[in-house]
Order: sequence, then structure tokens, then C-alpha cells
Amino acid sequence: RNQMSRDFCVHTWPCSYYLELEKRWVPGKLWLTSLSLKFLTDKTGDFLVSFSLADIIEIKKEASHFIFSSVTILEKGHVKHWFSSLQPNRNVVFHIIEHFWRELLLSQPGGAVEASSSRMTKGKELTGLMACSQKRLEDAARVLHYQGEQLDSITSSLDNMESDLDVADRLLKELESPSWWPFSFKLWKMPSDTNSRGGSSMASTKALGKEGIVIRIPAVISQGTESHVKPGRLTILVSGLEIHDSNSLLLHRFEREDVDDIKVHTHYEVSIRQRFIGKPDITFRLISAKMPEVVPILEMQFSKKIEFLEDALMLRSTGTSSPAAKGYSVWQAASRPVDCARHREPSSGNQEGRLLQLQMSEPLISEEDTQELRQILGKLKGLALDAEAELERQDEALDGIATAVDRATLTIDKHNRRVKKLT
Amino acid sequence: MDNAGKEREAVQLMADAEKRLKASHSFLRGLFGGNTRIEEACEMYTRAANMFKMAKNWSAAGNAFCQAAKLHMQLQSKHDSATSFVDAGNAYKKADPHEAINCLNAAIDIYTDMGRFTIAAKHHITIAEIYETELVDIEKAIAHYEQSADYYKGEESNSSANKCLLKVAAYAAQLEQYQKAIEIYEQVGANTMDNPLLKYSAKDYFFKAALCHFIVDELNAKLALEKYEEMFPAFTDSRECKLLKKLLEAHEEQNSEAYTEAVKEFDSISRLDQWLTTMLLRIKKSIQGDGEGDGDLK
Repeated sequence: RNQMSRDFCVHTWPCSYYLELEKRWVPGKLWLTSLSLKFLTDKTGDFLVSFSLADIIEIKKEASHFIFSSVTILEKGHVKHWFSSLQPNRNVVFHIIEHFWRELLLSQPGGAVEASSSRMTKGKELTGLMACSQKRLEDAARVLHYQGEQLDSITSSLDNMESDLDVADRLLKELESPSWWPFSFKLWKMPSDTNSRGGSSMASTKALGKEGIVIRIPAVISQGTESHVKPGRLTILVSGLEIHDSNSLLLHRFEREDVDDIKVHTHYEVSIRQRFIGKPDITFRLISAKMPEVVPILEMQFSKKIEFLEDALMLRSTGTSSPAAKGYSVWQAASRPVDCARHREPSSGNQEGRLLQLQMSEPLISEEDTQELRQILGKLKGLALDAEAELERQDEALDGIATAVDRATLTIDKHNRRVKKLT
Repeated sequence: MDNAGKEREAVQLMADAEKRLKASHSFLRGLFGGNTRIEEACEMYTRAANMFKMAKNWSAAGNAFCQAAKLHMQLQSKHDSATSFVDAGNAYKKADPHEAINCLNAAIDIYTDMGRFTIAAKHHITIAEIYETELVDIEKAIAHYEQSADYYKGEESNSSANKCLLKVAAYAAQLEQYQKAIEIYEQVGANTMDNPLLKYSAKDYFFKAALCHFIVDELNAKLALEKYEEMFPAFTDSRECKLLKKLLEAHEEQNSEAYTEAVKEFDSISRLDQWLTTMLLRIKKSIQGDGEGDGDLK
């Protein structure tokens, strides 16, 4: 019933697909819709592969035959699909497919937009930061523990070496009395690998100034040419647009007046451009599963500057011509925020002030978030203390190892000299 | 780089080595001289192998290392033989995964014979990784990871053993063998929760175990959650546990919106990895089972 409206083709990429049975690559097109992934051959035009995004287990970037960069997708039942020689490049395809896969889980079925709940409060942001550092520290603790175990095993193997050296010592003594030497004697080799891994890097994030956020959506971002693609977020503010990367670092901020044009390529893809005289333009291309919800808002805010390209226009006209038949179409769902945006629109001047006031009156960090933060901080402290204890223990172990190695080297040197005398 | 020249030289060396070997068979069998001949041949094979490596002729390099390994065996130097087999395996890995696995297996046999279980375990992991990435035979990869975990446990390297077991569990869950995954996660969780450094990660393992329970049966998940909270009180205030409770509630009411909201909130604080995404999607599907969710997959 609403399958039409939700199963638009998002993007196609020229690529080749590996046939496991025939051991060869076939050229064709990879076809992503919002719910499934298909592969169309160039030659016959058949769909060789077609599965729904929900059946994906894993998406990976891999190299086939150690040379060709490919995207591999593991389907339910552990069927692995190899897609290679992807145009324009692999990262673009990878990020976009992953994005739509995740949105299956994270977006509401009705497409209801929650402009308010998608707005991060300060407390949430802090919690996110803390949770991130906690995770890093947990990983570091695991590595530290592993390292401790390795040091222990080194100590025990050094003990073994020492006893072996004692045996060698005894044998040498025996040999030194008579003067014949029929065997070749091999020196003891010592395997020692201590790998210390560097500490984990903390992702630094920057809190953003809060002001009249209309909506924030996750999106896949590319700047200028399509070769640099990364996941991130698009935030629409009353006063402009902000583009962040996945670490919440601000990539670019368009003031409202600065935006020169917005092109809507397809339902899911827009590009935003700011022109400069004598300098290259700043262009961002954004792909997002939530884009249908945002386009109407953009249309409200930048009515003169927005431009619908052919594909999108067609979709749009079908969307508006028969809204009743569609039932729960994305467009209709998306019209809700338009209404509220419309409410705000006329008085955008003092409305900003009102929003600010609203946020001032809210406590900066809610009770619940404080609770969460307190807990995480407690855990962080515990972890740090335990890590310190473990480090001290390892320090002692290392001292022991250092002296044992010194001793062993001395004995081996001595043995070497004695062996040379014997031969 | 003069690769062709290197390759020619290597082929020449191989031929010489073979000749030398034949000589040792026909004239000086059983004498000391025979052994030195074999030793020389062995060294030549190794040199040839390294030259093939420089010329990037991986399967020829693997073959030469293999010959060297066999001669080392003849000379009773097990350790050298095993090292050569590993070298052969590494060379073959780039050209012929099946042959690489054979070589590594030979090396493992020698190492276990000598009682060097940690090294044997390490090579089991290498084999498992070949099955995982090159041959996509997950069942076999799992078997090798399990073997490796057993060896590590025998040598008291628990973190290494846990690392292997967690891989097994992740794969088992992907293959929908939830019972196996649950057992491993519970076991690893119980092992780590008393360790001062590792107890902070225990919540992840219990979370994953509970998710696997959830996919199989909602009621079991509830019981399991209670059990974990009792076993490991710190689990109660973790975000993972709160998420589980919210999800269970949403599932009971068959409310997919509440479910999505809870997942989304969790994701906004720490990004879900691919494994979790898969599992959470499987649960979400069971909510939508009779709803409109299925309809749009045509």
C-alpha cells in the first residue's frame, strides 16, 4: 500500500559483482532503494542479487586478491556478496549503504518527525562524551590486562631459560674435561615480544551553541567532489544550517543569508552551495534516509533558492497529486514540521529570542542526566585506580624481567666463550 | 627492481638444491657427509624461497619453504621445521589459501608435539582468519577459534582465550545458534566480573547474552536479566540494562515506536556497532511481524 512511497530508488552505482560459482566478475549496477539492495547486470539486465536491507548482517570494506578495494556484504545465512570497482569510490558506497541500514533500526516507521527529541540537551551531550571516554578506558583496561598476562608468561619462560642455561652449564663442564667435540651445539634462542600499545585517543568533541534548532538528522556528507564521504549530521537552525561530522565537530556553518542555492537531486539527496567571488564555492552534498522530512522545511526556509531537479520534481508531483491514495506517505508525514515551521516563520525576528528564553528557563542539565553522569564518573574513577594498581604490578614484573635478562645474557656470553675454546 | 632476474636465480637454486639432495641419497647415505649435504640443500631452498618472495611469486616461495621444512624434519630439527612451515603458510596465504592452511596445520602439529601450545593457538587463529576472510567458511573458522581458545585456557592465558571465545559467540549469534552464543557470553561475563580490570566490560557480555535470549524468547530474556542483576549488581545501573528493560517493555506492548525511541536514545550516546544493529533489527522484526512492517518488503 505504501510500498511505492517508501521504496524509492536512492542511488545507483556502476560496479562489478563476483560470481562465486563461475569465479568471475560481472559488470553492472548496484541499486539501492530505501529497503533493499539489488544488482543489475549490464549485459542481460537481470537482477542477479536482490535482498532486503534488513537481512544484512555485516558490511565491510575489504580487498579482493589483496588489490581491488571492494565492499562486502554478509547476508543472512552467511552468504557473502562482493562488490568491486565501485564508482565514484568505495567509501561513498559503504557509508551510504551503512547509513540506510542503520536507519531501518533507528527511524520511526511512520516517519514522524520529533524535532524536539532529536535535539540534544547539554546533559545528553555530556553523557555521550563521558560514555565515550568510559568505553575507551574499558578497552584500555582490557589491553592492559592482556599485557599483564603476557608479561607473566615472559617471566615464566625466562625461568625456563634459566634452568636450561643451568643444564648447558653442567654439560659444558663435562665437555671441558675430555677434548673431543662431535656435535654441533645450537645456542638457545629467546623469543621475546612485548608489544605495548599506545593509549587510546580520546575523541574530542565540541558542544555546539544552542539556538533554535528546527531539526537535526543523521546524514552522509561529501564536500565538493564526491571522493570524501563521511557520516555526520545536518542541523537546520532558525538562523542557518550546520554540518557536523560524526564526532560532532563543526564542519561548516551556512548563515541563512549565505546559502546561494539548494539542489534537491532525489528524494534522499540534496546539495547546498555558497558562492564566492574569486574563490571556489563551498558545496556540501548530503544523503540521508530522513531527507524527505527535511526537504519541506528547507523549502520553507529557502523558498527562492531551492531547486528541484527532474527526478525529485517528478516524485514530488506524484506525492502531492494523490495524497489521499498514499495514506501514510512520507510527504504527508513530513508536512507536520512544515506546519510548525510555518507557525514560526512570520516572526522569525523575535522568535529566536523566544526560543532562547525558553531554553534559559530549562535547567541546563536535568536530574536524570546528572544521575547518569555521576555514575559514569564513579566508574571512570574506579577504572583509573585499578589501572594504576595494575600498572604498578607490571612495573615490578618488568624490573624482574630486566634483571633476569641481564643475568641470562651474561651466562650466554660466558658459555659462548667456553664453547669457542672447546672447538 | 629486477624481479625476473631474481626469479631465474631462485629457480636455479632450487635445481641445485635438488641435485645436492640426490647426491646425498646415492653416495653418502647414512654418513655424516650426507647430513651436511642435506643441510646445504635445506639452506638453498630457504634462500630460493626468499628470492621468490622478493619476486612476489608466492606459491613458488611457499613450495620452497615447504621443501626446506621437510628437510629440517629429516634432520631432526623440529623447531626449524615448524618455523619453515609457518613461513610457507604465510607465503601461500597470498596465493592459495587451502595450501596455506595445510602448511599451518603441519606447523601446529609440530608445535603441539613440542608442547608449545601458545604458538599453536596463535596459528589456529591465523587459520581461522583465513577461513573467515578468504574462504568464507564460518563453521570451520569457529572450530579453529574454539581449538585456539582451548589451548590458551590450558596455558592460563585467559584474555587470549576470551578473545577467541567472543569471536565464536559473535559468529554463532549471526548464524542464529543463539544457545551457543548465550553460553559463551555468560561464561566470559562470569569469568571477567571478578577481575578488577575486566569487570567494567562484563556488562557488555551480559547485555549481549540477554539480547540473544531476547531473540529466542521474551520471557527467557526477562529471567536472564534478573539472574544477571543478581549475579552482578553493577549491571543494574548500566545503560545497557536500562535499554534492555525498555526494549522488553516495548516488546510486551508490541509498541515498535517505543522500541525505536529507546534504541535511538542509546545510539545517540554511544553508536551501535554492526553486530548490535543486526540483533536489534531481528528483534524489531518480531514486533512488526503482524503489522505493516512486513508488507512493504513485497
